[in-house]
This record gives sequence, structure tokens and C-alpha cells, in this order.
Amino acid sequence: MQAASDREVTILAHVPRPSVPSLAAAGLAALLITAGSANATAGGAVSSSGVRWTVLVIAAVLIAAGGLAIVKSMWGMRAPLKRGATETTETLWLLLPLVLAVALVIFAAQGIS
Amino acid sequence: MTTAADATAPQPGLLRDLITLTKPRIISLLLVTTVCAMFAAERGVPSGWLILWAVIGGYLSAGGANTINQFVDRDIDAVMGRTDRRPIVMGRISAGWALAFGLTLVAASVLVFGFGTTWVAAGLSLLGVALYVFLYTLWLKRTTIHNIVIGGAAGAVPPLVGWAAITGDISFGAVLLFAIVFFWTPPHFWALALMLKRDYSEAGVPMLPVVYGESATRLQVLLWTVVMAGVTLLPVAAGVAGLVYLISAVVLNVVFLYAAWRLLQGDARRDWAAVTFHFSLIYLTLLFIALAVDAAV
Repeated sequence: MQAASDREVTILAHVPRPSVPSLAAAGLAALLITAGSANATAGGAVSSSGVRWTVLVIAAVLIAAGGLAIVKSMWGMRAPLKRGATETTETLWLLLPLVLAVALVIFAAQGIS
Repeated sequence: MTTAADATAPQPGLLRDLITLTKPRIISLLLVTTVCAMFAAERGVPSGWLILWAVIGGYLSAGGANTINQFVDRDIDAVMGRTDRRPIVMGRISAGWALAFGLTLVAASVLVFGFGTTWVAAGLSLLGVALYVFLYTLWLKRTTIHNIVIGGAAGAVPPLVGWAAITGDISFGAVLLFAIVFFWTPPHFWALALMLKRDYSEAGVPMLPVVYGESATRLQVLLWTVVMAGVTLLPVAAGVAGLVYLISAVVLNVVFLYAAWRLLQGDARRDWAAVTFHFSLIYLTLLFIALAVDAAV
């Protein structure tokens, strides 16, 4: 019994373990097939405003949480200033992407009836 | 010593060197985002001719930008192990000749986009080159830790080009695709920078891991992945994408967040920076393919 178990362990040790990316690719392929038929039935883009609002709120929460944590953790972080970099530009580079993300959320919200 | 005349004379490796200058492996991902954005703009399958011209124009444009980048960065390429065998550094192609080659490719790309697709697409491709060369390479790369965040705008232009190649303008949907690539760039590039920290340090490039260390960079990879995950959901909220895209985005985001979380945790048995970096490439490819499939079905 023990020998059989050991042999099983030995065999399993030689089976290549799937990597995270390959698992993701396989899972995605299956999902695409399933969702594809659902999408075709629904007729393309998600039309339910309820679903769109729900997705928007989740997106907004992720952006707000991540954005605030980024500003908090990166505030004041900069390389030694060289020509072409000032305190102002460093602050601008930190905030600009996050302002863009917030603007995108607002614009997306305006498009939902 | 290699003279310009020597470098331009026909030799067995010249074609290979010219192709190397364009960085074809990087361009392939840019072309995926371009073509998939065309499907999203068309809400179906675009004309094969339009796709062909966009692919040719996209290769020429990105190849020209990459060549000019190597002309500008030849000093730091020479001290980085990853880049010290590039054609200009090795003296197989002269710097001046490479610059002329890069500018020619860019000019050709504008004509291909303009006559093959739309002039808005041509203008946007030129904007992408300008952002890459002037904003990223010449300004931000050597001056700020935010270099690849803001400079990432250059790599995010191809979806705009693809969209404009179909519609001739830029709508909110196109901006969302731009934003996805823009917010994908920091976690992607900082994972790479963690692997190449020593190279960047020797070259004096102020990448985040060089200036603030690995722990701070790992945290930023996770935080920017969270923001990126939120941005990738916006096309669904905006009515630009459907269920195929939504489900794909959720699955891919979960895996990306898991990799970024494990990277933050640290694990001596596995190089999670490499896993995160390689998965980020697969992530963007699959996300845009899902977008295209979503539009086509």
C-alpha cells in the first residue's frame, strides 16, 4: 500500500504542473465559448442599465481604493531632481493618471440612462 | 572602427540588424491592441484590407519609434546587459544611419495609414511616435520615477489608431481602450524593472526599484493593478463591450491580482516578478482578443 502510494507520488512529481498563465488561458477559452453564445443571444454590448451601474460601481470602488492608496504611498516619492524635473512636475505626474481614471468613471456614468 | 559607409554597405547581417532595430517582439503586442480595437470600433469584423494597412502602418510606425529610441539611448544601451548587443551599440549600424532609417519608417507609416485607412489614424500614429521619442525617451525616462507611468501613454496610442482607422474619429470607447493599456503599463513595466534592477541602476535610469527599492515597487505593482482592474471594467459600464469581454476581464483581473499579491508577499521558491511580467503580456493579449470576439459575435 505504502509502495503504491510512493509510486503515485513519484509519478505525480514528474507530471508537469500547469503554470498560472496556462490555467488562465484554458479557463478563459472555456468562458469565451460560454459567454459567446450568451453574448450573441443578448445582442452585443450589455444593455441592462442595472448591470452597467453595478459594474460601474465596482470599477469606481477599485479605482478609488487603488488611487487613494497610490497617492498616499507615493506622495513625496521622487528621484533626485535633474534638469527637466521639478517638485511640481513630480506631483503632476503622480496625480494626472488618477485624475484621468476618475474622469473616465464620470463620463461612463453619464452614458448610462 | 566602423564608418557610416561600412555600416551601410551590404553585408549578411544587415537585414537582420534592421529588423532588430524595430524590436519586432514588442510590436506584436501593439498590433494586437490595434487590430482588436478595430473590431470594437466596427462592432463586427472589419475589412481585411483595412486590417492589412493598419498592421503594415502600425509596424512601420512602432518600428520607426523603436529605432529612434535606440538612436537616443545608445549611451545607456551600451552599459545594460540586456541591450549591449544591439546593432548601434555594437557598431554594426551607424547612429546617423539608424536615425535616418527610423525617420523613414515613421514617414512611410504616415503615408500607409493616411492612404490605406484614415488621416486621423495617420495623425494619431505620429502622435504616438512623438510621445515615445520626446515625452518618454528624451524627457521622462532619465528624470523621474514616474517615467513609465506617463510615458506609457505612447504605448497606449495603438488602440486609438486602430479605432480611428475604422471610424475616422475618436469616441469615448476609444479613450477607454487607450486607458486600459495606459493603466496596464505600470504593473507590467515595474515587474520587468524588478527583474532588471541592476541593469537600470548601472545605466543611471531612475526606475522605481532603483530609487525606492523592491518592496515599494512590489506594493505599487499591486496598487496599480487594482486601478487597472477597475479601468478594464469601464467599457462594459459605458456600453462599449458585452458579456464575453466582462467575464474575460474578471477572470484575467483575478489572476493578475493574485500574481501581484504573491509578488508583494515575496516567495523565495518562485520569481513572482517574472510570473507577473509574463502574465501581464498574456493578460493584455487575451483581454483585447476577448474585446474583439465580443464585438464580432
